[in-house]
Amino acid sequence: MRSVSYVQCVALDFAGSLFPHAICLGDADNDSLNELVVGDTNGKLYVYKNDDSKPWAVRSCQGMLTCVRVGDVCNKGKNFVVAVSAEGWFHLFDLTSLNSKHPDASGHHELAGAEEQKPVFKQHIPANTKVMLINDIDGDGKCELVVGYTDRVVRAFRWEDSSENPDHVSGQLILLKKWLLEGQVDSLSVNPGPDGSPELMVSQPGCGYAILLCTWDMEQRDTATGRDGSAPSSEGPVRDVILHQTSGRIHNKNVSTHLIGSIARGSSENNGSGLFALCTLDGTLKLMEGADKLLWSVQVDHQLFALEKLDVTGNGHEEVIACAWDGQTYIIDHNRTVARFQADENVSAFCAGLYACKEGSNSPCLVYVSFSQKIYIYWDVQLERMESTNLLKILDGDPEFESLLEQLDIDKNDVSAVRNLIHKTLYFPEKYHLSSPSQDPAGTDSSAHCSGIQDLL
Amino acid sequence: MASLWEWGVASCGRGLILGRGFDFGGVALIFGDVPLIFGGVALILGVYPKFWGRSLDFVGVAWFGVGVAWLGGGGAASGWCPGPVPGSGSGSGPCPVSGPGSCPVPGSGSGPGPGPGPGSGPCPGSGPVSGSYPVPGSGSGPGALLAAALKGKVSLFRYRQLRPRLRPMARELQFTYIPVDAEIVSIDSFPKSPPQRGLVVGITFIKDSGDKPSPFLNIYCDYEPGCEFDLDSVAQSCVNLELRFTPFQLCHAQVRVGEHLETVFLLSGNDPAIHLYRENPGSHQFEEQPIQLLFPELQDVPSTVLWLDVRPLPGSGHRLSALGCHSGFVRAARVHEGSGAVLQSWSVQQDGPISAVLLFPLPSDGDGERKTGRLLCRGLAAPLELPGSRGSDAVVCAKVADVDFDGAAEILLGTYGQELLCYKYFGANSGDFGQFLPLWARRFPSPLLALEPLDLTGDGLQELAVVCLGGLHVLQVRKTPKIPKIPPKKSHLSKKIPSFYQKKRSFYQKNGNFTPKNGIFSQENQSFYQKKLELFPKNSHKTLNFPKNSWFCPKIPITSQKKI
Repeated sequence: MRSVSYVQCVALDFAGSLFPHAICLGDADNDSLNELVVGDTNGKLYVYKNDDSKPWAVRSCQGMLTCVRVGDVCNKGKNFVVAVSAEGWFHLFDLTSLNSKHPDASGHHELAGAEEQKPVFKQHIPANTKVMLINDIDGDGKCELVVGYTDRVVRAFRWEDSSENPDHVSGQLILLKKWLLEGQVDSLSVNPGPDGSPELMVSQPGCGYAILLCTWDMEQRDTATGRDGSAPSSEGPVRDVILHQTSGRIHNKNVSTHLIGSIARGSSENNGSGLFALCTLDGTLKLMEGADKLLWSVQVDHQLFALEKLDVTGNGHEEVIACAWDGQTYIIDHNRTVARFQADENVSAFCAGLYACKEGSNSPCLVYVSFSQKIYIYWDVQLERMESTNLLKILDGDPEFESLLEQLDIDKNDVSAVRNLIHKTLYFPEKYHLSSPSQDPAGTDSSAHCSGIQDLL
Repeated sequence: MASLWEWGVASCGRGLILGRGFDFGGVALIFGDVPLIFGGVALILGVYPKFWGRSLDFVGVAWFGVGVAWLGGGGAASGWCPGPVPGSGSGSGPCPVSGPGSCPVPGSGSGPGPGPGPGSGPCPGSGPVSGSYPVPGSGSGPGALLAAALKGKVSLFRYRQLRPRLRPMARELQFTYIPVDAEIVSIDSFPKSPPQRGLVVGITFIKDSGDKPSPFLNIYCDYEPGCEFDLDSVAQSCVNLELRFTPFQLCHAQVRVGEHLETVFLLSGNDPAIHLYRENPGSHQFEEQPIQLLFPELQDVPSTVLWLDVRPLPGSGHRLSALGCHSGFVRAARVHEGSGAVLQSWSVQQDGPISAVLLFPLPSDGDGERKTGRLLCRGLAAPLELPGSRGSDAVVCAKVADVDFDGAAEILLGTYGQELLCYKYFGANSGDFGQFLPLWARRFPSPLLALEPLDLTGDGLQELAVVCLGGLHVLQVRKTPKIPKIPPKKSHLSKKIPSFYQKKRSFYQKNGNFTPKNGIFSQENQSFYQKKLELFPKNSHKTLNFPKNSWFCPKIPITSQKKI
């Protein structure tokens, strides 16, 4: 198996402890460069920018932060930082102003007034939160907030704006729906369904997943048409959770499972089901297309606890990134080519994505939270390609190369002759330049040709 | 393709190379790398920092050149050839010709070195130019790499063509007669000089049985027809020589004995002397022979030789040899190959132990002959320092290889400070000397131990195998993506001289680069490539002056040792 080594690493200071979902990469201050947002168990929210080891902004929240996300949860066209605590406190932060007021803000945030430290909005939602997703789950073009709970419940919320002023944040979260599941929910994700519309997926133990149906549109319609009273009673409760198990061979049906959907596949994007990946704590990795098409399955002997997607080759195909507690990271492309990377320390939380670490631009990064009060960001983790290759494979099928070979009278299937030619061309150019008039058969050929023309003249 | 090295495969994983023996803790003293120019050849010295009172007691530790041997010239292992190599299907021999020139000059690995003036000496790269001539190191099949760990384990690494994929494979190769408690000091291999054929592997180790460590040299060579290149069978046929000295670097050199070329082992010891091991043509056994017969310039060394390099001067019938000692003594000599007469000899005393001495061929200009004559007079008098190298850690390994396909060699230095530095020679326009400028630098996750340029993937391009404390890295030339398609420029030159090699070369230039964008190249015609191509590999420093604060990895070398 191919191993890769990344050496471009930045260490950030982070003294606290955190929940695995209390870390994310996103554009928190709407400057088109991504920041790292981390929430700890004491309710502190840290935002890191660039390669600065000290946080760029610190905020205080109520309770233990279990999940933080960056997204346009209010549908105002700009990103907010959302932090939710285990006790059920939902905090909304707007860091855009911080960016404009303190362009050189590093270290000065504590001087800012206490007013700025406060969240722009706070609301209590049901407690025992575990995972969170900000995405459009019902295809209406607006983001919803989905929260998974430790008590096997998933709730969806929508932000209801109460002010006309687009700059002012006032409103509240409205509960849209509550789903009850059989097993623990470790991941929430959105994946295009067979008809291309988004489907909310949650992972279920034992390498399973469930699709949660967004029935509120239907209910609204029902209400509008006045069938609210009669229809549900006759048909019974609407089935809103569709459970899928992905394979018959499950070692442990209670094993913790993670899931990530909407894995980009470049230009060959079709309108059908999206790609999604699953991983389990006992080392199973799967890439699936739709409910019944398994693209590959990989078994590793590491405890995989985090699953991400990231385009490390820059070809538009997102690779699946899975991380184990000991820092072993697997990068697998759609063709099941595996590269692995060993982070130096044990990992308490992992995320991967774009981050503007250096040079003022986003680059693919792997973020590891260690147990030694550091966050390690391996930045610009691009690979030229996933598979091992050589020049012959790369030039295979290149029409210009083939025509040149033809002119040189070399059979393109004669590997050793082609290799010889490449070697001589690249390493001994002068020699051939000097000797070509006399020794190059093609050269003598054309000079003969020239003399023939002269004779005719 | 571009002159970029990307992170390739490091499939041997951790635990391959060295367990202990590197005790550099706290060494941040002064050192430098001083290339010395003479005779159209620059002498590169890697100078160790001064050791703090433990002068010679690190013997027995594979502390340099951990023994990367290359098996060029033959699809050597198991007779695998990826394509229709003539003769490979017969089963009698995996490779048709191992190549008269395919034996690398010791310490230089590749170094296609266009020496001053044309010639046909036994130097790789100076052989006759014809289509069927196997190119050294790439002529017939991809190479393989042997890497020896301190604890008696030798790993074989190579790529296997499992269609449609190319797969890196590493496995342990069981060399016979190496006891379990042995510590390998050095390893070397070479294909025999024609007309003989076969692969020879030499391994020095120290068997520490408690009371008294006993050093040995094992030479592996199979004479069974058809098995000469089969590593598994070579590893089973051994000549076991007990040594009366502690071995250091093991290398090989090609010498002219009468009409033949012959490749011999050269082993430096702490007696201090250099010992020569040569195959007895009668008994087909390797045995020690007096050094002064074939290498008179290598006798009478004042201190343990840590590194030596021998390189023929093509066309002149002379050879240059250079050696660097633990005491800091450096000597270079020009020898007439036929008579063995030492024509010229230079020496210089440096401050610290010399970790590497390499002979660097300077690119020949139009007036190459005249210049050579002048430079030969200068000897070791005027050293050049590689700019910026003083800020790096100790140079553990060094190589001379062409990594940017301009036909001229570059210097590669691997440091204990986890960096690989590349320097390029830029000839002077009017003055008498050019200068070496840093081309790129790249960081590694652990200290570097050995470098070896060789064609592992079997495409004619040389990969760079880098053996680190944490494993093996293969750096591959990168085909830079996103190069805009440019219309082919019609050159009047190519009309006049219809060299298709030239055309082909320009094709490569269009499709990849040869030149970096870092502004080192100032010529107008280069700037075009500079614009669209990037020199620096990903995950390396994009600076030229190697700032000291560029230690992004907060890792100390010890952490990678513990995983071994």
